Parts: sequence; C-alpha cells; structure tokens
Amino acid sequence: MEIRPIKKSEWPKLLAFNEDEYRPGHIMTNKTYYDWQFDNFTNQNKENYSSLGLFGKSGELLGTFGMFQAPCHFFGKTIMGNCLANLIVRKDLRSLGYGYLLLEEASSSHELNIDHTINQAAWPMFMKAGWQGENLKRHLYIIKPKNNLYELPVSSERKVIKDGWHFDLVNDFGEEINVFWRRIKHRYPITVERSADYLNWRYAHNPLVKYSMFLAKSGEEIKALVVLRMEDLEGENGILGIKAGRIIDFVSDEEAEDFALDTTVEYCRENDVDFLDYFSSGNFHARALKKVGFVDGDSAPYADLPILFHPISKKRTHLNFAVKISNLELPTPNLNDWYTTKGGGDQDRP
Amino acid sequence: MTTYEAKIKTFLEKETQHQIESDGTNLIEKGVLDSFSMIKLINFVETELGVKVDMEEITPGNFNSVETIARKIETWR
Repeated sequence: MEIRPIKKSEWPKLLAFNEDEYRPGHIMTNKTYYDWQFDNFTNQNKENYSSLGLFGKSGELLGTFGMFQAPCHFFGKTIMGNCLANLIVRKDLRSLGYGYLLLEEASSSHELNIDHTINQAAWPMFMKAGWQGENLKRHLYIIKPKNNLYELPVSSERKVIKDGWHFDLVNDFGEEINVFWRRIKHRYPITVERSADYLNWRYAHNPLVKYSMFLAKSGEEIKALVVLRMEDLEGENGILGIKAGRIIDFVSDEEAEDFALDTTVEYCRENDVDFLDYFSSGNFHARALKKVGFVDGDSAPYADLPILFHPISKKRTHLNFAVKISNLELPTPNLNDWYTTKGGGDQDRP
Repeated sequence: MTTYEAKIKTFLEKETQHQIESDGTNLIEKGVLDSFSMIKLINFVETELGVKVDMEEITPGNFNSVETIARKIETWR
C-alpha cells in the first residue's frame, strides 16, 4: 500500500474510481475540470497531478485526496499554501483509517493547509487531527422581495458617493493587479495571494465557469477587485426564473469598499438579479457591507434561503473552512486572521 | 475472552469513551470506530502489542469487532 501523487497517465483508472465512488457524470469524472483544478499554475510536475492517491499492492486505487497549491500571504510573507479538496475512500474501506492516512500525508507535506466545505462526516476527523475551522459568514442583499422561492424584506438602498470612481469589467489580469495586490494585501493577514497568475487561473481562464471580473478604479489606480458569478436557480423541472448574483471573491482598499460593493449591487439590479450573496471568513469588510445594505444571511428570516442552486437543495446549509499550520515555527493565528471566500476552495463548481 | 481481546477492549473503551460489548457488536456500523480511532488502534497494536499490522488486511470483515480484530492480530504474530 502506498500514498503518492496520481500520475496524469493514470486518468483512466482515476475516472473509473470516481465513477464508482461518486457517480457517472459527477464533476470529478470531467477531465477538463480535473486537469484545470489539479494541474494548476503552480504544478511544475509534468507527469503528476497535485492530488494524492492511496494505492493497494496491485496498484488499484483505494482512495484519493484532491489538492492543489497556491501561494498565500501569511503575515507579510509568502508561503505556498496547500488547498485540500475532495477526500474519498472506496466505499467498502471507509472508517478504517485510510481517510486519516491521506489527510495526514496531505497536510504534513505543506506548512499551511486549508480546506473548504468539509462534510459533517469528515469534520470530526479534521478536528481530531489538529485542524481548526468554522463556518463562513453569508452576507445577503435582497433586491426582489418576493419570488417563487421566498418572501423576504428588501435590502435598503444607501447613498454611496461615486464621483471620480469607475467600475471596469475585465477579461484577464496583468501586472497592474500585482501592483494593487502588493499595496493592499496587508489588510488580509492570511489569504491566497491575488496575483495575476492566480486570478487568471482561478477565474479568467476557468474552462467551465464564466465569471464577471470587475476592477474598481479611482483615476487609473485599481482600488478593488470583485469577482461575480450569475446563477439561474433550478428546480427539479428546470430553470425557476430566479437569478442569484454571487460575489465569489472580493478584495479592496478600505476607501473603495463602499463603492465596489454598491456598484456590484447596482450591476446585479440592472441584470435582473433577485438577490446577491457573499461568503467570507472573519470580519473583513463588515463596515462597508452593513453600510451598503447587506444583511446577515445566517440569521432569521434569511437563513432558510438555500445555498445550493443546481438544483435547489437544503442538503447543505453552510459553507465552512478549516486550517492547519504544520510548520511549528510559524505563529499560530486566530481564525479571524484568515480571509477566504467562496472562491477560495474547490467548491465553486460548474 | 483472550488476552488480545481484553487489551483491545480496554484500549478502545479508553480511546473512544464508549462501553464496548464483547458480543461481536460491529463497531464500525455502531460508529464507535472511525478513521481516527482506527489509526490509533493500529498504532496501539504495533507499539504496545508488538505486532506488525498489514494495512492491506484492514477490511470491514476482519476489523469490525473486538473478536475479529483479536483473531486477525493472532494471524500477524
């Protein structure tokens, strides 16, 4: 039995495993997705994916742990972060320690580890293994108070000064975003570095999901980045005619927060969106979110609004994240020091 | 109850904070054994009982109760 990176040439074996353990047609059986997610801009190995496999004596796959790396800002330093994604063990071998072996192998090989949307069954294993985590906060803005899905109080429009600012839709990112990021990243003690390389891989050149990427500028200077995804909600019988705007990523200079968030709401309003949501950790941007009119999506009466839309499902009611620092020489941060969003892990899928 | 059964029962009760019955109860189905406690059990078998565990043989069929675990350890001695 061995744990090692999965070779790209082993795709047929991986596909068969994922079809059995997830289901045929699951996103993990989509090679375009898998190649993008687990052979990203940081993977220098031409032969291997960044994900791990647990192999039996005969070379059969017994389990996998998808993971990818991305440079992270950590209190002024840049450290290669390990983003753990899908952990799965063959059905007949679950609860026997193999998942834990994969988790230990995955997290011990990197200083900084982060995982998003860990399911209820696996959460205790992560906590016993020394991880810490909590739910992301959901911030909501209700544009249309009533539709086929809900009846909720409309969010109040606020007056935000927009003179001198502009909001540009961009197709990809160049050196100017690196300059912006270097200037503002001190606001986020621990987070993925929003470099042009990362943003182009994660959003601009995503092969399966269309994102709208906006830069808020004052003159020619970038002051904020907003990544937005529009989703048409689906019921069991197809599209419901309800549209959600999802702020997948957001980083900003303090002075631009109000303008960027308010203009995002305005853009959504113009595009017939019913409501917006934005998931984030910690208390980042709290003042601006409140000022612009976002409400606490985790409290009544908003908490019943589903977070899964394809189709609508209440099978999951929260998104969470968990972290582990494996390098004992690094300081142990508070969970509130971590800034991550729905775009931070592997869960914003097609 | 054999010596191995007794030692495993004591270890698991301390580790999992569950009362373990020696009646063939399936500890995986009952949720007593999970991935984490299984690794601790394997570590206990190797370090405290001095028996090398063959991971390929950790299957639900032979590692689901105090009795089946003890029988499997006997074969590895």
